[in-house]
Amino acid sequence: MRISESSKKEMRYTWHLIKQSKLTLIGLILVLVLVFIAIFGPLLAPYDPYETNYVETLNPPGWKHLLGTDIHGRDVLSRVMAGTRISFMLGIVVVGIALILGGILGILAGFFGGWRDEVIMRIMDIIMSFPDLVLAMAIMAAIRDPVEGYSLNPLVGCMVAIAVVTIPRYARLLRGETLRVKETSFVESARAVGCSNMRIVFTHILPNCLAPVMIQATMTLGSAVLTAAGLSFIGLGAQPPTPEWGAICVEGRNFLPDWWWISTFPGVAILIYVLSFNLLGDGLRDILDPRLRR
Amino acid sequence: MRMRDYALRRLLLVVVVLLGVSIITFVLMYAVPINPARMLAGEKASEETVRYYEEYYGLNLPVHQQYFRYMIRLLHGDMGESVRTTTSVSADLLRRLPATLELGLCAMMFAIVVGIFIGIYSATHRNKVSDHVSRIFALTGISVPVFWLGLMLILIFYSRFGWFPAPVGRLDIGLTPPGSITRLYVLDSILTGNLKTLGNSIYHLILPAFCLGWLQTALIMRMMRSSMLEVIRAEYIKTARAKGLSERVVIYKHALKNAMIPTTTVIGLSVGYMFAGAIMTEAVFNWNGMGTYLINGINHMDYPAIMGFVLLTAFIYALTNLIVDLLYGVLDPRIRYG
Repeated sequence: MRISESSKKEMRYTWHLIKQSKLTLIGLILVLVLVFIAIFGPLLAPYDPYETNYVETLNPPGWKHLLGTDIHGRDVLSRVMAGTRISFMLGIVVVGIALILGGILGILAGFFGGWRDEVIMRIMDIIMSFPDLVLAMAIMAAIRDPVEGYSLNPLVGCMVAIAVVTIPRYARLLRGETLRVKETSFVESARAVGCSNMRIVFTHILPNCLAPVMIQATMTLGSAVLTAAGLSFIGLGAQPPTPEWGAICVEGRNFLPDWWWISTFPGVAILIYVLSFNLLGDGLRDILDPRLRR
Repeated sequence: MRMRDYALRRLLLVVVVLLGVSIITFVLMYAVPINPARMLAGEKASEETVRYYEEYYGLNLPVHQQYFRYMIRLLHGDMGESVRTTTSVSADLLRRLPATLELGLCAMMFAIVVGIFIGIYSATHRNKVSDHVSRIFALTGISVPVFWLGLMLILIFYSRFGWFPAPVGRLDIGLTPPGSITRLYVLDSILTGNLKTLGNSIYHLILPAFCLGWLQTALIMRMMRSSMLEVIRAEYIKTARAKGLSERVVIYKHALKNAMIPTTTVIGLSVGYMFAGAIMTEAVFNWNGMGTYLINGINHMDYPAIMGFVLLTAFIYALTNLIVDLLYGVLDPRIRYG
């Protein structure tokens, strides 16, 4: 891809603005650290997250086990580190599904308007009239067989359920952006020279939606993990021994208050993870929104 | 568009949305699970019992007829029978509503007062230390898992310091509830003049209300801050200052009125988060409300109970959004005429 002089200038300016805002910079650094842990975690982790060791059960945090061990003698730090990769996978899959399906629906609605717009957006309204966690929970409950439990990996179920409840956000966003861009003179002239609808969508509308989509995606990466942890807590999410942060918290719940480290640290991990993405998303919104620039 | 047309359109929309909500719950409840009759009859039920349930709930009928029956029952307020308690789900939910309502209202009041105040303070002291502190407080509030927050509050303030009571529910074990006028314990205590339960119920409310309310506080504060920042740049604020009005009057009388408009929407939206958060808060604090009922339902595969909760939540959420939208139309004439 060739990068033009003007967009290079634009990128340099954006970077300058990121450096200006301390909270955004902190968010960016934290996200990069988390990405590093997600990629290289298994190499860095001191122990195998699944390996039980009944000689060292319920050890408090110390030099041998920095964050202690659980009832099976598994190292909490290694489990929390393994959870980072699960969180990223979850977030990326959720954003991927929601962005593709929500994007298609939103652009269709915005581009064609009329009854198509009305039907699509009313369906989105219906999905949005459930609180996120409640609908995701209902979906997870419905796909669980009462006798045999889940036929598919519950983590995959979580991803799909959370993606479904996230679709309307992207549909609304891309519909709004499509409506805005559709009225601009450059789209009008593209149409005048005989560009096809597809071409207009891909070369004119999509690139112009990039900034708001990036902001929304950053936020979703964080909130998806929060919803997934909530699902694990109410017993309709990842199941032990999967080192999903919410599931580790729940496993450690029965060991409170005496063996507090099992539940505390995965929760801290969730907090740091979600906070980093929110910091970055907030900052990006201020920086990329042209109305707030200057 | 006149206000009446706007309200009418919005009302029609709510009907469409509620119809959609009922279809989704119907599909999740009856169409997706492999054999709902077996689920209702229980794991070890005989073939005959399963067939009886199929007959009784009309599960052998075509889907559209099933949906029709389901809707008729729903319109009569009948959400089916709980598999676990064998009583009507609507009655069960209604009995537990006051506990959730008391917790939710407390959290809401805390969130509205603190959120609005910190939001204004943060906006008027932009980029000062206090602004940064309140922004981090808000960001943490939207990033923290509610159930974990509850566990930590109990760990620190009950187990470590003993400042707050054990998470055993709405009152100490052994205390009898103060009458049943509203079933909101704080209000009932005041009405019956029972000082002992008044103090105790408030004491038991503080931690869970904070646990549930932090997120809403954060959402309200963030919206208040950004809308206040936008409003104080407006020309009419410049005029108000130029007239020589005190800063207090300018902010709290002139700016607040307009800055409250978007904040109202957020307050309405946060009712939805309230129900999601209440599930987790109640489970952590053993609060015997709708959330605990739901968790019990999940643990016992009690599908009518689960879907009853989902339906009621969506219903209340949709109505709150309707009220907020109508209020928005009243507060901001641009919506009506736009």
